[in-house]
Amino acid sequence: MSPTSTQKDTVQSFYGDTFLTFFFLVFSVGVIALYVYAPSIFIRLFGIYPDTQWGILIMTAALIVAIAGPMILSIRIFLSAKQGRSIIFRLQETRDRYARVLEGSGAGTWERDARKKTVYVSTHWKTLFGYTDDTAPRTEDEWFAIIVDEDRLSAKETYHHAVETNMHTYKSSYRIRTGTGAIRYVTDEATIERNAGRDEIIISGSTRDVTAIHEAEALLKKRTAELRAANDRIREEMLNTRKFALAVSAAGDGIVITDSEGTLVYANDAWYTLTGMPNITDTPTKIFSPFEEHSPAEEMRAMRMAFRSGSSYTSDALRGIRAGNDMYDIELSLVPVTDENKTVFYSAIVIDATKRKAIDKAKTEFVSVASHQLKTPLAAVKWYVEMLVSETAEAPDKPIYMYAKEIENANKRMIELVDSLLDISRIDLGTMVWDPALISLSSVVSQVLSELRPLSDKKHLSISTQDDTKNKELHFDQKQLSIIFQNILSNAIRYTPEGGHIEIVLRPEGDNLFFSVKDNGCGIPIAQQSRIFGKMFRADNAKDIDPSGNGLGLYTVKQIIERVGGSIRFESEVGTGTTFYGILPTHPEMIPVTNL
Amino acid sequence: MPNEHTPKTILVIDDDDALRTAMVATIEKAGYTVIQATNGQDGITTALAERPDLILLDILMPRMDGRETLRELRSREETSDIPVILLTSVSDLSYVAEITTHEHVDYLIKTDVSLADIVKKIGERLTEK
Repeated sequence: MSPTSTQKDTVQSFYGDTFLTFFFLVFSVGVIALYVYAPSIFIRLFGIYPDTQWGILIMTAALIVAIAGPMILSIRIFLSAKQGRSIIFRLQETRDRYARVLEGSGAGTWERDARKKTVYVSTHWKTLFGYTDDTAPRTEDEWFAIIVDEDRLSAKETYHHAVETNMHTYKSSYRIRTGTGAIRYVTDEATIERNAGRDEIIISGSTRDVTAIHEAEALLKKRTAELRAANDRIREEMLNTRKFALAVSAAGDGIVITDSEGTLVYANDAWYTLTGMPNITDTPTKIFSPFEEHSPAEEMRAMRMAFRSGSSYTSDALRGIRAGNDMYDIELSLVPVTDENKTVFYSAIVIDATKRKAIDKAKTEFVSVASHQLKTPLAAVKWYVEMLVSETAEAPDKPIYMYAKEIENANKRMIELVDSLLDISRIDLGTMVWDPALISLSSVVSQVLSELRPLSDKKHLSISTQDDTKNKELHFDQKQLSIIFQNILSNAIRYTPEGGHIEIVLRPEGDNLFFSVKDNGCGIPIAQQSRIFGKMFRADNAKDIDPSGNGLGLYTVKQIIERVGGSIRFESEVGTGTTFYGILPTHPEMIPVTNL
Repeated sequence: MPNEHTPKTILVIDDDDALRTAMVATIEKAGYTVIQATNGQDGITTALAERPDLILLDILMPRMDGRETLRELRSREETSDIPVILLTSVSDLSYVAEITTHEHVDYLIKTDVSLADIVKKIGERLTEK
């Protein structure tokens, strides 16, 4: 707020009266002096004496003017001074009031003279911005110097533009460096007063510290941006979650989540389609429920054990029945989800394996049928070669006899292969005859050894047997037990070089019988050890030694042993030899029938 | 060895010509009289007519298989006592086992045995009798 134009006029007339007073003062002194020294001066000046009629007249008139003038003026000055004092006072009062109001509002007032380039700042301004009488700006340059570098130019431009044009007020915001070195955001609001000649431009204004507002605004802006970003993220997350949920829900394979006890907390559509189970929200369901009745008991045990021990579990031997007596096979893979070492939940993928199992079965059946079909022509070849051999035996040097012997050998290998394929297809189909009887492991091993004697004798192998199972019998299928040892022992003999050594150990181990067969043969390369129990797999060095093997032996052995709940493993080093270790239950519970 | 004056008669029932011919030739060579049939039905007729001393019976045959033929042979008084050796090319032991638990019959798996083994088995069974 600045003085109004009326106030300005008052101030000017006050200054005019002062000049007149001064004039009259000098004039009065002159007249009085004249009067006192009149005679001589009058004579000298006018050549007349003041006691003449004209002289008295003039002197009296001068005296009246000299006395009355100052008197009138004094009265006038008194009056005008009284009036002037009240204007100044009013002005002062107004200013102070504004200043106080501004101080209360956190603003400091100032006044600048645009022509003289001087600056006056109020005490409150100094207090506000940490300046003292000595450090506060007194010139425009000093004023601009406290503005931070980045804002200085624009602050100058705003100011000069306001001053040089006809603007009456202006507003300018910038940052200043306070007396203590801090940076504050401020806003100036100012009024510009110009006189007619524009040789006087006075700007009065106030500076408000808007740092708090500015910071609040910046914070608000930042928070708003953060909020917006968070909102975007949430939206995206929701979209992703929704996408994910949709994908899981629409997946072709069953996907379920269970609590740590196996109770389902989520199941997708495929689970219901697959199992035909009721909705889990209506009927609390355990993951075991659909498979309990029709899956092998040991599978269900293993699955429950996974929940107890917090481990994962996979099986392709589970099956269930849905509405309409529709039996289905399941491949289930269960994984615990842990958080800070604590199992929080389990997730499981449940795949319908019915079709795959059917295809597998069809393939196995095909192998079985094909092998059966092969048996008759193989028998015919076998017998005719036998006749051929016996017909030509009188002349064993003749090529025809040797040819016949070659055919005989090849025929024998083919029969062995077909028999192995049949064994495997029976195992895979679960149609292997399991006709258990109490038999002694010792007798089976020595029977197999005597069958293999021609081979081992030919290579001059020494075979030692340490047998502590003499009085122990096991309830096992004779043929399958023979298959196990036929394969392990014939391998040992086959892959051990001339003069090598084979050690057989048989001993009871709790309810089981333990066996080990150690040879000092060629060994199994480390890279191929993991595949040695695979179907039709043969290690490279084994193929070099004997190209005729079919790679079905150890697969068969492992299948038989595992299906009766036993185990088999080996240790091997190339060039040093191989040792097979096996455990056979004496009374296997689980009989490998109709797994399919 | 068979008696030279009264050679024993062996009936071979097998639908596979090659196998049957091989068996017939070998068994004849061993000094037996061999008669043959190519299916179960003919086999029963021949057995009733000729009363062989031993029958070699293939299991897998069309129309009437070895099991049915055996049941038929056992059900008739004339043939119920004739020893039978079952021959199978399918080492389908469960099938064979099912038969052999009810009947006193031997069985041979064709691919496992030589012709010599068959002759040997015939000799053993005839001696038992």
